[in-house]
Amino acid sequence: MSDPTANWSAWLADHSPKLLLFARTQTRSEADAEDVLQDAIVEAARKSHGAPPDLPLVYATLRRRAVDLARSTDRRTAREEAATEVTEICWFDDRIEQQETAWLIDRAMKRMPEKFREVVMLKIWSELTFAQIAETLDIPLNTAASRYRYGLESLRRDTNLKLR
Amino acid sequence: MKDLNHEPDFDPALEQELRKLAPAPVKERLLERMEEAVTHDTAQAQPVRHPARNWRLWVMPATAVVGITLMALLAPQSPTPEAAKPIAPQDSLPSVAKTEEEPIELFPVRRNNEVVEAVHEGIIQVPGQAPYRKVRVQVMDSMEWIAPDGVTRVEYQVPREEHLLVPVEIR
Repeated sequence: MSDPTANWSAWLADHSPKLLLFARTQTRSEADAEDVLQDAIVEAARKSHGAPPDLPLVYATLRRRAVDLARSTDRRTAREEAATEVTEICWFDDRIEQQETAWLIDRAMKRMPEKFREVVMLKIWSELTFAQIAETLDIPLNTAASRYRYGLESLRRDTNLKLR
Repeated sequence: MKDLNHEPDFDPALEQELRKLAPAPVKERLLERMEEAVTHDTAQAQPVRHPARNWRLWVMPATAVVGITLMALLAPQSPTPEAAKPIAPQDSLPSVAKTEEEPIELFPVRRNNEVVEAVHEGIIQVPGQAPYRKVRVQVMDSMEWIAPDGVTRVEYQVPREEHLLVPVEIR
């Protein structure tokens, strides 16, 4: 009989980076992002009876938990968060030769309005369909597509990427 | 972007450039923490089901019935001073025959859901929504089975707690 923890090791290694990327867009600090990610995976695993869950379920759970966390800490830590709002953690892998591009995109993504940013994140780096994004964010499918378009326009404007 | 899922192209060159970037890797410490949390949690967690549909709750009274039946069959029928005396081999034969009786059949006679305590825990205010009154209710679910002869009786009780959110009317 196969070891169930082996499934989880592979699943976490594959999906944690993009899940953490999304968690970072939904929370105000690195510690919150890690906690929300862990809680969301545990909750989604329970719903799928211990097996690695479907990704859209994890994204939806993660977002709901991030919203709950933001509501609970909104008043208490508003002042503290303002002081630590600028994070130096790069959201993308900047160890490769594309370091400059990584930092450029990182800064542009952090400046982008949240409603556009979360759709771009889910579409590009989580590879969800618009239908899955709409379900995850609880918005109409057309809204997801239009926010994606605005997000890309914002990125192109902010980065002036030299593209073919 | 290719026409995967029949979705429209927006800015293929930019999308291709963005996809070249990988999300930042997750720290080994976080991976270990999550793996431990998820494997530990799912190993212990039991699916939450209604008590009436939880087979374990039915196993408990069934086990109790079997235990009581065995005790009733194996115990001396009347603990009189004569029973303590040595029994001659020829006298012991009838008592052996008695141990082969059929198991007792039990019938449910009572089911009750009693509210033990209801505590008002204050008002919850959710931004953008009406306020709710939070009430914690403790309930004792109990069931009772009885044998037709009225001698054997099995009862079990399961406590449970519910948290109710009741919308507050503002006039």
